[in-house]
Amino acid sequence: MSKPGISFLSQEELNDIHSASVKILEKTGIKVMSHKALDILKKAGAKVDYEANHATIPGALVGEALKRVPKTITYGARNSENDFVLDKQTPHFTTTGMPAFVLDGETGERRSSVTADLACFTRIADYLKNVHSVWPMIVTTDVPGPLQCLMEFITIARNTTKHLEHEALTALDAQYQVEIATAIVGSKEQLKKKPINSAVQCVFSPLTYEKGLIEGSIEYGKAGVPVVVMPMPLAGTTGPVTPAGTMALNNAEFLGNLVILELANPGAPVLYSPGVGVSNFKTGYHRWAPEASLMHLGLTQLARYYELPSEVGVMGGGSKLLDAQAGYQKAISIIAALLMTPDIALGVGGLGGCISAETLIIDNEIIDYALRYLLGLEIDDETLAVDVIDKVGPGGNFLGEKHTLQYFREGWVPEISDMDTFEVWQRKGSKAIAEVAKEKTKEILATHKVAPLPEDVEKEIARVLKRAEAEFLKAS
Amino acid sequence: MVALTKIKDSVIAGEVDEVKDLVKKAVDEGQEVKKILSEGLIAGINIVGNKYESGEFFLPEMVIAATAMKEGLKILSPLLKEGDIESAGTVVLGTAQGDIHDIGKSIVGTMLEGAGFMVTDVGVDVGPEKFVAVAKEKNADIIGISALLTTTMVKIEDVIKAARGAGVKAKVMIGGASVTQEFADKIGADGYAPDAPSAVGKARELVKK
Repeated sequence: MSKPGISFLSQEELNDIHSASVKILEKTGIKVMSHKALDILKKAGAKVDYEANHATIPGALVGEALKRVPKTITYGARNSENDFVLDKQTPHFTTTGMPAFVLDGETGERRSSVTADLACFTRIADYLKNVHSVWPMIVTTDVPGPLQCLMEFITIARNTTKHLEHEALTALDAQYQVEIATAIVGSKEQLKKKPINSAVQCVFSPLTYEKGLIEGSIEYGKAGVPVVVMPMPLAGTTGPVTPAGTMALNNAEFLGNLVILELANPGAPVLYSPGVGVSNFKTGYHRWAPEASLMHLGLTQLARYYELPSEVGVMGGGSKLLDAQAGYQKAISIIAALLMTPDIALGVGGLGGCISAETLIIDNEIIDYALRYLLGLEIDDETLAVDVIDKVGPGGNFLGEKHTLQYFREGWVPEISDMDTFEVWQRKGSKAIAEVAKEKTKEILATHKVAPLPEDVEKEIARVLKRAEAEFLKAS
Repeated sequence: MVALTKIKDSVIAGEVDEVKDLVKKAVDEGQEVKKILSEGLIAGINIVGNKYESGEFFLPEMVIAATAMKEGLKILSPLLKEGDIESAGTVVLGTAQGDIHDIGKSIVGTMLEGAGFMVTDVGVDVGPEKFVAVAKEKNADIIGISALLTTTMVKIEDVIKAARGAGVKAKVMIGGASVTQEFADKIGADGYAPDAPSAVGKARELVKK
């Protein structure tokens, strides 16, 4: 097969970004709000100021960290048929993460998300062919603050047998998730060998590592749970307005974070995950723009240059509704983004600041199209079919040919997109795609079952919840 | 004699050093301090606010102009008497306890300054006691609280309770990515704004009450 490819930054440009990032780490340094992390850096020879919570990181430490970090990772899942390898050959997909609002398909209302929503969306994600990993698509706002993180993890673990991706706001959050994951796979060794969970760790731009987040990542690293380091600078407000500058900043934030994690747990699995954006200069909010996609593309290329596993957002946009804007924003950059082959492509199901079940269905279709596109075309004697053309001759037709019969099923067919003539579409009810998607979500929720967690795992969950609640009550 | 319109123009252009020099010069020349403030600095920042509303200026111009104005104000402050500063209101701003996200709050602060408010930004991860203490010290008209995370927005209610309990008269206004009007109503906040430009309108409304 001849596959389409993409070229973007030159080797010199990749080196320039890397050098700029190292310069930032050596000169400007990072605010590290964790003394535990500062200790780790100090021990390795970094210059540390405990009072200012600040460290500068020498380039040599960056080089060492890049050598230590694993180049491929095998992601496990409760059902091992859902395992997959991050080896830069094929993108796999994860749901969008952590908006606090749902666009309700029934009422059309935008409302706060709750645990029951997360359970439903997770089950839909479990069903969909093109979702391989579930990041809680919503926050469980019906749960007390300190327990939200844990409840989200438990909810996705119960409602899918695919890989679980979450996050920790504290080391304790991470520890609880590791305990539950260990109960699911059976042992710590098994979890390290093939982790069924991974975790996103955001970086606060510019150049700040928040205490709970970085200590959570160190905790994950101990157990071999992959950490997806995700800096999120916005060009013009929390990063330089020129995209290259925000790329250098994002990269510096990633590299500094990697140094800490590899010193804490040498060989800890870490994913490169740019979360860059550009600012709306009227309001300070972010805005959808080609520059954001281009920065992601360049940083995915940089991740490949570092030979690191990567996770990149490919389906972002600003529309609050499942409408034409949502459609074109998602579709316009996905192919270019996937041509750079991130290991994990992120964003299934998201709308502007919220999620909808219908969007999960539609995104699944967009991805399906894109994945077929990536495969390319076969050009050979058989597919050139000169003999068949000769047989059919001028004015003939190919429908009855054996050649057509042999190969026609290989052609891509949409699952939900409309393919009918106007009259037939009208006869079928003149449905817009959102309505078709809504019917599909109802069908999935009515029929798709996910095996419950085994009893011993539920017992472990109950134990963990009890300890978490006690911890929470103690704190309040 | 330094023309006060020159100070005004330098504020609009965001020329920080120029504003400092001109203000200092005007003071040394013996010009009336209250006039330097109103015809130089405040006049300048008001025009900046108007240009933002009309779409000519954006946040970068606002921030730089506000910086220039504040540098000029630093020079005048020790010389001003109480009541000389006719501001739109006094605001104390901060990010809720446990939360370090501040870019939204900072933009709100800039826009409020652009609209003639006196703003004290107490920073991030601010506990209820600090909000109350600073609000009392500044005799604030408004306490503005920001929270990004669903886990920290719950702390906003603690500030409202502490402020009411301490007899602080300031109105409480809130915002942040996960915050909604519904949430604001539920916890008894006086106001909510979905973005920085709306925050200015809401602040103006709250000081009138």
